Amino acid sequence: MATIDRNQSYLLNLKRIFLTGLVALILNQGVLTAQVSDEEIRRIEEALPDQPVVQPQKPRNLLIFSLSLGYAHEAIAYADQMLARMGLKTGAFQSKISRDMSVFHADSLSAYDAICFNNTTKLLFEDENQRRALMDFVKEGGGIIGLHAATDNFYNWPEAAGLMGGWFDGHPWTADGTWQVVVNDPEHPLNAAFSEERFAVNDEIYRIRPLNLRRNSRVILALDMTDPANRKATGVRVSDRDIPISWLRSYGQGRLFYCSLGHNRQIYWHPQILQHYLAGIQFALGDLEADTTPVPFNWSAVVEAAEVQVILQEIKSYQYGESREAQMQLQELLRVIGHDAGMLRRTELQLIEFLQSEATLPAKQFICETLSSFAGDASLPVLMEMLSEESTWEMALFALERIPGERAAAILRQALPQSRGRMRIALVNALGNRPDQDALPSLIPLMEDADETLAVAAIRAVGKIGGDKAVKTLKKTAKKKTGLLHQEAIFAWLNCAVLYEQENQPAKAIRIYRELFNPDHPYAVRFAALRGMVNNHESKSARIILNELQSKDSDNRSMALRLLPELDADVDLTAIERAWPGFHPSGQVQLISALTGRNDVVSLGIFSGAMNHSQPAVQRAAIQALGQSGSVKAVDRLALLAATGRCEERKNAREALNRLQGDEINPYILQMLTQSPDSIKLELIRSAGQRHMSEAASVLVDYLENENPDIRLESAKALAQVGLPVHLKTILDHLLQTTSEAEQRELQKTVVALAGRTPGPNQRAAPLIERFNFTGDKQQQILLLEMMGKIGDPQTLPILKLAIAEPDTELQLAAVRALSEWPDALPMDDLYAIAATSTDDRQRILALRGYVRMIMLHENSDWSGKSQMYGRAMQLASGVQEQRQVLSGLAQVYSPEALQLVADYLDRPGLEQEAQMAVIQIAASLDEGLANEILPLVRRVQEQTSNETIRRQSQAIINQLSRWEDFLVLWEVTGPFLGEAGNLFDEAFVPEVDDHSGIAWKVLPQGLDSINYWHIDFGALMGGSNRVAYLRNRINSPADQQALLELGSDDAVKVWLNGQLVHANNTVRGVTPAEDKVAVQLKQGWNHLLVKVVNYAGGWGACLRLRQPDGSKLDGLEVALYD
Amino acid sequence: MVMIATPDHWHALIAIGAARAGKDIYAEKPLAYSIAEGRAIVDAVQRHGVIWQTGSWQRSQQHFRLACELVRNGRIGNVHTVRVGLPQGNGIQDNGTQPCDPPQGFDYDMWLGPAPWRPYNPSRCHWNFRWISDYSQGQLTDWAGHHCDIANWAMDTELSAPVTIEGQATYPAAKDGLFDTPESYYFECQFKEGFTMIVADSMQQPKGMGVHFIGDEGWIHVNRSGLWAGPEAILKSPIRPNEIQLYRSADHIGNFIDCVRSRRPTITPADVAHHSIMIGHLGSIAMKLGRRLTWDPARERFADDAGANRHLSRPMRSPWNV
Repeated sequence: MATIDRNQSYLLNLKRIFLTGLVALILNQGVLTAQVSDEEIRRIEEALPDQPVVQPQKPRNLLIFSLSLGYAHEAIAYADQMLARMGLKTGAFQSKISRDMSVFHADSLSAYDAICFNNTTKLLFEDENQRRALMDFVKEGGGIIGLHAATDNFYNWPEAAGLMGGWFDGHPWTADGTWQVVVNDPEHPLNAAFSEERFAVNDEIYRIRPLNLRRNSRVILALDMTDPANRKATGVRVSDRDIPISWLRSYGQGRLFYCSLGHNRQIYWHPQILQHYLAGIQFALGDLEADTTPVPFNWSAVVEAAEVQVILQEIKSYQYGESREAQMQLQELLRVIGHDAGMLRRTELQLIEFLQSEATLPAKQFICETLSSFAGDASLPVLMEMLSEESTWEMALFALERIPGERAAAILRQALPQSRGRMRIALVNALGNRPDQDALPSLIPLMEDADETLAVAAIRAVGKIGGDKAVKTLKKTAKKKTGLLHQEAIFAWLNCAVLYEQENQPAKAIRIYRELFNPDHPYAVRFAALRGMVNNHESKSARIILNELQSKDSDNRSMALRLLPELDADVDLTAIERAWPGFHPSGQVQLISALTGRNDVVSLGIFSGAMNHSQPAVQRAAIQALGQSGSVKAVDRLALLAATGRCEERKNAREALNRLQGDEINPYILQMLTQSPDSIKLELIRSAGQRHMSEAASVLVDYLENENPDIRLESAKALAQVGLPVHLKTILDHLLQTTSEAEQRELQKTVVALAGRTPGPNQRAAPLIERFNFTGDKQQQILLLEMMGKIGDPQTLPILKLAIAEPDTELQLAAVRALSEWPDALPMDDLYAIAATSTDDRQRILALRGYVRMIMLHENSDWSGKSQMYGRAMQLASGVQEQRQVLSGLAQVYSPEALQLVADYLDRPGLEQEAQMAVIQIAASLDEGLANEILPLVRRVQEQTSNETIRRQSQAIINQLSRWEDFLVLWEVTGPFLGEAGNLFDEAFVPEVDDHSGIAWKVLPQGLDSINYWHIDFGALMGGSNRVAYLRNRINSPADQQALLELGSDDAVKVWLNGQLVHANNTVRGVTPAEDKVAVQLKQGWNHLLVKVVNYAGGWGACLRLRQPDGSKLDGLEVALYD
Repeated sequence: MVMIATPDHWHALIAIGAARAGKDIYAEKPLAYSIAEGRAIVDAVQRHGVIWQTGSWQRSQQHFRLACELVRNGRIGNVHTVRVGLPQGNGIQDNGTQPCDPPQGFDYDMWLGPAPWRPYNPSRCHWNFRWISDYSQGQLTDWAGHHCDIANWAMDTELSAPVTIEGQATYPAAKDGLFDTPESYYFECQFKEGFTMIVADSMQQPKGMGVHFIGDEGWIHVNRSGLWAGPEAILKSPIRPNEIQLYRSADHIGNFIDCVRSRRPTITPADVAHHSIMIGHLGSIAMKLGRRLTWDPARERFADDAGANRHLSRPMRSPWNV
């Protein structure tokens, strides 16, 4: 039997391969995930339909895509078998299986009519081209089929998840159960397989988070949520009513068919479901016509009135401080009921009835708050009655306030005259908030009420209702009253103006604003009034603001400044130009800030004038404003200030110059570069570099010959930012000619930067090699060697190696330095050789430093390889300084080997602290499963160190890791015991009842889980669903004592201590250490521990440890096996 | 100046009172308890010309700003999805949930203020108010003012809002009788600007906490621990002078003080904060009602859903009112 590569895919060609050969091939594929037995193959073959649902219009090809990056379903192998055989047996299609993402390419996909996502999990499609290929495939007419876990994908790609229908959201209906399915659409061609309207299936049913599913897909099978067993499964939410199982849809020119059945292997020999699959596949392939029109979900069919009644019964006696579980359930149920107007009205009547019942007041308060969300006129009579009761008016009013309409308003109005105190205020507020025009006659007299709080509420309410009458009254009150009521009337009056604006009556609004813009009124009112005038007075707004800017009242000026930015860009600001020098500096800052962003002549003049202001705040604002003006004039001003200003000014001006925006700025800087005096020129050169102005490069290259050394130096710096590879040779010439060391240093950096931008990997240092070969000047050679090292072009390696062999020690040293600065790990071995053999200390140290640096850059080594490299470096390190360097490198290697390596130096004089820090750094990064190896070392560091920070960090690691400490790993194990899924937890298998003598207990192998030593992985030992394993061991306690047994299990667990059942948890979950905590009593001497772990489906494991009752470490226990 | 650092249900009353008194205001996020209360704050602040800063201080961190500038300047192409990851679960500190007398010197009635009356218990007020829907909507509204705020800043939707919202939350059983805000939550918002914002607790976000922008040419992820991008070179591409540069602040409180002096808008004015927390409130309402909602950002009302519109505000307990 030929073996195949995991990523290989191949065609199952019906025409050319005989059936026996074919089975062999497919079986190979199956081996990757699970073994499908011959007997099972026979059952699949037998159950598959003989005929296609319709004859294919042409030969069809199906791609079966079976890659899972998350949970790998056993079903994949079965579905692979079933699908391939279905195509062969019915002749509906040919198929090919792939697990290779590269198949998602337009060229490969063009061979197929449909793609089946066979229980794929956590697919991401991170390659944009693969995404496009898949989407184009569907949109242009391809079909998609999703089986079971196909909704557990695309978490980063909503479009594809939306195509499939949604995202996996748990499966309360587990694989061991049998669940009722409803055939929504019995006449639908994809449902021809099902003769009844309901059927039962033993499978795992997915809940999804739907993505518009009910609006774009036709759901044809769903879980029957009227069935009590479906409703009561563990983990079902009150809101789980719409649980679609099969659906289909059109997508562009293409089609989708999804079915969530197919977790259990028996599904793949379930004749009706296979018939359903075939119809769905033929629909997706394009052969079977089927209606894809979405059908809205009928919510009222899945909720009964009695459900509400049951919950209300629970709520009836609610008192504050008690559980609100029933209330939360009612809210959850209302989320379902809210989908259907009829159900909602029915529920409203139930809640109203509840309000009339003998329920407690806190219960009624909750129901009133609930009703407030949806109550209508039907609730009004009861709420009205409650409004008249002292004990219930407040809750009733809460609901009434939210009920719209005239009838509710009338109730509030009618209640007003008889009301008192807080209730009266509440009614006034409610009427104002609606706002209720008809309430005005009753509210106005209350503005005069002796109760000031009530009067204020009435004034505010009148202001919220607005209108001519309200305005008249409020104006009168404002004039008549003083203090609080006066002020409230002013604000309410102002509110009327806003309402006029909203009603599109600007003239009336402006009239109020004018009256309110009065120095006697509070600042907030005057500002609102001025703003109102400006906003509603388009033609005069500029004049209003300019007038106020020149006002003698500083408040008015400040308000006008606030509104200034709202003026159009073309407004003439000349008036301000004259006025602003008279402003207080804080006003000037505000003015400049307000004008920021403008670039008209006046504004620019103001900014420029303020640039030399004696107040730093004004100056800073001006610089900032100029920087944002986009004006070329700003370039001159800012460059001048950058060249001549004081320290802080120069910094601000330079930053503003660098950030100056506008299309004209760069051309202007370029022009001024050649025309300005040297001091300005320097600033412009600097700015051209910072602004990445590559158009300035050739000018800057010319400046390398400038007689002013500052200009030469600044140009060299700027060229590193803006220079182009084409300038490389010229710059190099300057570098080799200049005698200024400062210039040499800058030009070297520029050359390295430009070489890095040269396209072509092995061309970067070509000009340098050329110069090196020509020159005989040693100093020039050294300069060139230094740059070659930083550039890292492999072409220069032979030159460097030759130089090392030169007799001249200066050249040698320059070459070693160059190698040690190489940007990647290429010369690593050369450096090691130099470090190992050189007799020159300087060279040796340089080489070792370079070697150590490159270990982390080395791409083809894992942590273990890197540890070894550091180990070699350590042997060469002769001085403490070098050893410290190696240790600090090692600290970045997150492997157990590195940890052991640094541990050796914890006692080495002069290196203690580096070693301690390295231990901490590595320990913090290692997997927590290695706690047993890490903890002793970290504890040692903590005891040894004199450094407070290290001590603190050690403690943090110890705290973290001791969570994983002391798990019991010494066990005997027996199993698996098989049984009926529903009974596994309760059934007492032999180890529970027997004296254990007749059982084959085996020693639990260590390292079942190589990372998490504490994880007893039964899955790896004897995996499978619906089975039970037992563990046992003996624990010797030095005394009678209380202890805490902390355990996690996947799935259900029972624990016996000394023959007594101490813990039972029938659950479905993964292993989480210490998820269950059980107080136990250990007796002195040997204690006997027996553990039962049930696996329902998926992973299977456990972990246990014994701690002190408070959870801290319990010392002194001895764990043993039986003899 | 006034600083507001009360529970959410008090924000609007204090803010509007302070604005009417002409005070400049620094207020902690979220802006307000409800969308309507937030709108009332925005109107008062704008109407009365006071300076407002919201405590969405991530804006004043350089790496958050850089992330937003990179997105705005198209470094990851056209952004189609933004994933916002916020904390999961209610951070309850159980001090006792049985009703009892409030401690001496604590004016509990004033603390409740506009919220519905319930008896005092020791777990209700300090810190824990966040997990009780009478006062807040849990982690979602606590954090939307941070990460949804950054998402809006980067997407240039600071004054825009989603047009559809749909999602679901898991609410606690509330056996303690007190804590009822969502423990986990997930909702999707479609913006008319053409992208989807997915807001969820970090356990339901592939990249966890923070804001994850996905464009057709790359991705950017930012949170309080750092800034990441793919391709990585995106992080090294400088924002040039002629590109979009966002409001710069290196000190969130300092920015407020500067603006108090200059009378210019702060980096997080009230209307911006209103639209940041609006996403949290909209998601909260959509999940509470369990249905897809359509929002009209201009009118700040749900379209064709009178029931949902009832959740834009909550009646205040007398005598409080805004």
